[in-house]
Amino acid sequence: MRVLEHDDLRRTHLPVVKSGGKVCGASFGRPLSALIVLAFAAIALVRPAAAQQGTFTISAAPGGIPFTAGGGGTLSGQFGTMNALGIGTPGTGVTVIPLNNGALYLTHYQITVTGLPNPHLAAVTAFVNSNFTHPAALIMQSCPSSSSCNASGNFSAMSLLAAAPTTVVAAPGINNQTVAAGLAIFVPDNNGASSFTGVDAARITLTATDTTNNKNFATAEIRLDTPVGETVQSAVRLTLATATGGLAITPGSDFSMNFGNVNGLGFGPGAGLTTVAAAGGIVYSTPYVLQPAFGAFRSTTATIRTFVSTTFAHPTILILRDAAAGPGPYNNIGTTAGTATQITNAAASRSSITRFLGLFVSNVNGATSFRGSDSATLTFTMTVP
Amino acid sequence: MMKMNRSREILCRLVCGLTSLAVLAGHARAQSLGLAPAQVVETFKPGVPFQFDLSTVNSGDTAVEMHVEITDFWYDEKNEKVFSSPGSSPRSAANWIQFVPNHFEVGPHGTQKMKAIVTPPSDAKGGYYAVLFVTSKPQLSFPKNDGKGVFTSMRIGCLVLLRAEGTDEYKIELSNVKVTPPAETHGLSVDFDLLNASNTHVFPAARVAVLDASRKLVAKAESDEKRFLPGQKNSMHVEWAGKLPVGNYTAVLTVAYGEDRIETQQIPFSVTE
Repeated sequence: MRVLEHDDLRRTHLPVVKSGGKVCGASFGRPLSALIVLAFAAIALVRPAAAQQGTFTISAAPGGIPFTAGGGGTLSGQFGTMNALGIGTPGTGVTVIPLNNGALYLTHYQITVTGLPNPHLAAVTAFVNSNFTHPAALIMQSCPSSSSCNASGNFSAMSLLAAAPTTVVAAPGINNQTVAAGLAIFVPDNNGASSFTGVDAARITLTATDTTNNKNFATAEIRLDTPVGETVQSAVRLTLATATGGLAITPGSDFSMNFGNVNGLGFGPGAGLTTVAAAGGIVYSTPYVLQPAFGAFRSTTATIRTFVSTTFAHPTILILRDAAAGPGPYNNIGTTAGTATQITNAAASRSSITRFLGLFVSNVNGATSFRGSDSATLTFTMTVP
Repeated sequence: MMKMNRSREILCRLVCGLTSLAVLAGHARAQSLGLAPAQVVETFKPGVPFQFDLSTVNSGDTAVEMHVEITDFWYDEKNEKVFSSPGSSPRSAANWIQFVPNHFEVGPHGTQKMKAIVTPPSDAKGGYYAVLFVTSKPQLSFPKNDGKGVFTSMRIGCLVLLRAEGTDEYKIELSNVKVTPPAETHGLSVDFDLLNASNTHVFPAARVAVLDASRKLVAKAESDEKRFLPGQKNSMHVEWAGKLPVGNYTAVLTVAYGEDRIETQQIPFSVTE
């Protein structure tokens, strides 16, 4: 695709030479003057000013967003659907990098400079000429051609000012060749009043400058609005992790905590377990960590509940309990979704909540006593808000 | 002496290193599930099916078997969310929604795309609600040793709020409006109850403007949006942290809701200290 070029720069002009107080070309006073003017004109036509030459092309990079060329030197495309947690498969040509405060959706594009006279070089800058209408939800970022543009650290926020654009191809620039650069949209967590879900769009202007004479010789525009625009959606994530000093969360098809050998008297608790006295038995306790994360919600807090979705086969001997602190108090965890135990209704995004899971073991003797192994399933539910 | 200190240093470093490794190993064993979008707010044409996509991600190092569970979404007398079985709550959309696929395995650090197909009835009016839970499936059968095992699964919910196009009727009622004038220990606050008498959900946001005796604006504040399902009554709170000189004032409470609707009340109050 060929980009818009400044007509006034491309046009080849006759040099303006004054002679006898008159502008040559308008009137030739003497034959000698006419010859000189013709000689200058010939030179000018054979070797036009370098800044008046050169073209600048923006195009899709292999594996990048498939841009479509529009009129007037524009390219149109979109990153597609995005969220602050980087969940899901990104749009065609887009790579997502989840970060600890949002997600970076990046792509590559190509810049081709042709027609520059040797040894002239071209530098390229960019700025956002029409920013997203929800700038707290979508932030345009750029990566210079000197970088691989594959990591978040390669990108920085793109300037919103024409007067102070972001460098894409640094001076002294490139000769007639094609280079790749990076374009990205950072989707921050952005919960609360500035949260946004929906479609937005932005436009970027790229300018090529001949660094030999410091003249801009072409501009191009990338429109991130086609066919729909950039879609921001909400997202949630819940992580169940091992707490320091607690039982390990086993990576299996599920996440299991094995309390090992336990008894109603609390003798010899295994590593990661502590015992807490309880009426009628003993509670074996272990800490664990819940890490909620969410983005693009009006609410800045999430609710996490838990319930025993499958009780122990011996539900009077073994009972799961929950506590906010190691020493307790430990309360029985609900055994239905409707009676789920609320762990918190004020969990901040990206927070770590240490909670204590207690296994009550009855010290009952006689016919109802039990020895052997048993298991139960605990289901954690997270919703925002 | 120097030798002993050196040995201690090495031992200390070794212990610290092992501790760090243990901590890292523990956290590496974390399991993490995500869902996007986590809230779907859609307007539909009664009788016309539509669909939307969801993605779930398994950030763990092992594959996770998952299934989708659809429940009602309503509230109880304490305004707590209630996720009951499909069709058991008012304005349930749970039975309208079909998930494809509804059982699947997500590989380590993998993503699964799902499609929710909604078939609303032609006589739908107002708002309808459901929750799409993506649940990791526990395996209760794998052998344990002597111990007592506790398996955990996760449910991550996507709230679905649907509204039948052209059938919504909006009305809210404000009551128990109370202004607490600013004092030495606290700022100004406005509290009130809001009843959503609409047949659909609203996300009202309250704004308060404080005018002095000469009707000059001296303070303003606004609340966050809050979700109200049909018939739901809940409190709202607006707070302004500043101070006001002694005098008579009027708090103008404006609650914006629906597409472009507002409800206003004026509450006179005095600052005496």
